[in-house]
Amino acid sequence: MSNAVTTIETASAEPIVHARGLRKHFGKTEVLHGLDFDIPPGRIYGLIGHNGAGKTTTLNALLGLTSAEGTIRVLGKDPFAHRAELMENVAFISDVASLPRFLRVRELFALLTNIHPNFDQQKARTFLEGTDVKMEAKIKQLSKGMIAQLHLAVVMAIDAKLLVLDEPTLGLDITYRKRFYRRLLEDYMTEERTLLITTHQVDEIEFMLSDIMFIRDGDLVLHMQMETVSGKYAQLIVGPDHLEAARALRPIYEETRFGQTAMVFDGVDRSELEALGQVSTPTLSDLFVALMQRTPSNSGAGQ
Amino acid sequence: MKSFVALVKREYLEHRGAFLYGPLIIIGLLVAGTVMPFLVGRFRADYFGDQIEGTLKFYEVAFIAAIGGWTIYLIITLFFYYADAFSADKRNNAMLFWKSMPVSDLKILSSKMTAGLTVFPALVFAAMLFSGAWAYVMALMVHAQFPLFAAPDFLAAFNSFWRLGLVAIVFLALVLLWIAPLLAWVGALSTVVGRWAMPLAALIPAILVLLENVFFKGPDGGVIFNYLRYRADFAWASNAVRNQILTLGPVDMVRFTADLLSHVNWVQMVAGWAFAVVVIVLASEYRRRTLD
Repeated sequence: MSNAVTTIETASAEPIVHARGLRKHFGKTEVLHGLDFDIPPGRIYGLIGHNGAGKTTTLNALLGLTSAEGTIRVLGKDPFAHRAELMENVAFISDVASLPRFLRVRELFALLTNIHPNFDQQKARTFLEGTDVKMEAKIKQLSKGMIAQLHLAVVMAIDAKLLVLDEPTLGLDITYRKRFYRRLLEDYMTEERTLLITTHQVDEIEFMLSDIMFIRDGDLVLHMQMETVSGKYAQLIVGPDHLEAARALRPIYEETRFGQTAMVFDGVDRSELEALGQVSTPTLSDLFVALMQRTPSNSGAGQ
Repeated sequence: MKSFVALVKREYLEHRGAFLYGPLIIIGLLVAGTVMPFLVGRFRADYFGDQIEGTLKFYEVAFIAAIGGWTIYLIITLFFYYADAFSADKRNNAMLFWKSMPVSDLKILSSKMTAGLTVFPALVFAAMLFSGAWAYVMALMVHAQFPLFAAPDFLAAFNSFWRLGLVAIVFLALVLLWIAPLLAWVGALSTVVGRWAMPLAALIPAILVLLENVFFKGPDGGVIFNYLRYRADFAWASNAVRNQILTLGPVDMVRFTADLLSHVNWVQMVAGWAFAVVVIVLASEYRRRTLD
């Protein structure tokens, strides 16, 4: 396990995803440094990290799209060796522009009906009701937002145990993004289904996450349930008069906002902080900024 | 099996242009190119007038020529299909979508291989049959211009039509099975290098021939070159076709088919299939391990 990771075991049920010592090399560069984690069923996981942190590589390893060292089991199977078999119960969107553009929507559904044993065409048609996507439309003529809706309809019509979404709303406007996540939550999620999602727009998915994993430079630096975040982390808004007293409690992050100082603390008793200023639970983006500070690998390049 | 058929259908939907619309355009040009001159009195059949025994033989030769022409068209379009289709998912940014389906990379590439050897030839075969039927219309035109030649008897022409149709099936199947290793080679290269497969399909063997001739002493031209020349020769087919065209009587379907089957080198045929299977499996393994 990576040295700085914070992990709180979440459930005793057979995990949907089990990874131990997950490593990946591109040439001589190691981009994943031995990740250890389990994802139990029925949870909504957010995998969050900077560009190049290793999110997509991790997802690709879980989906059997790339080989990796270590042990990975998804639904009990080695994903790289059994990708095709695994995809009967795993659905994913890695890029909303990846739908076959030469097909009409109707043709796509007809093909999927025959290719995917767990695809329900009627469900997919129902999900498209109320959208501007027409069955006779050619996919290449749809807008990016409409393609995203279509792709979401496709994966939601697949009766899968694990749904993986890698930046599913990249490039979409706020209306589409909100509608996308709302439908996902309302129409798809059940206790038997697990959702693993990566995005840079962490504030937009915070409300739906049950667990978070922060990945930084190929290491897992945080893995915990959302409800335990408030017990471990606290944010303090402190005025100039209590600044030094607050600093003495060793915040993990500090920044000045509009003349006030915001600090994030790890494992400090809230009652101690309340005497110094206004205490709250940090948002996911605040926590992200606090925990993911890093020195760029080429920071000395200009010297 | 259901998913495999669906994948073959997907190939049809994605690549039907060259095999459905292309032949339809050519047929349209053929029909227009014969009907319009006839209607304006500029149809010229005197090229054949003193060389052909009767309009029935004219009809048969025209049909055989159509079979040959469509076969060449098919080989060329299949070459481009394999060079294009095996890398189409990567080029169209659809790789991740197809990888999210419960089908293996081997199944996907096999479906492309199968579509190229079944569905698309079937479409071109339909064009062949239409050309055969149209050859009868052309024979009637020849008769209209040269009334001394007997009008082609419909029953005799129909008899020739189905016999030549059956011969065309056997001929086409053998040609496709003979060139399957070439098509698999182009497809496998396309999986790795995309459309660069087109020049590389010839360049790589050319380099091997060159290296063999530079570094090894062997037969004139080298073993590789002589083998490739043999594979490209189609002597087994051309002899059978020539025998039927030069004979004065109607096409003998049994003799034609026997001629074709007996002249095929079946050991080489099977060796070619084995090569095709190996390169497709290797290509699927490459595709399984790569995303870009």
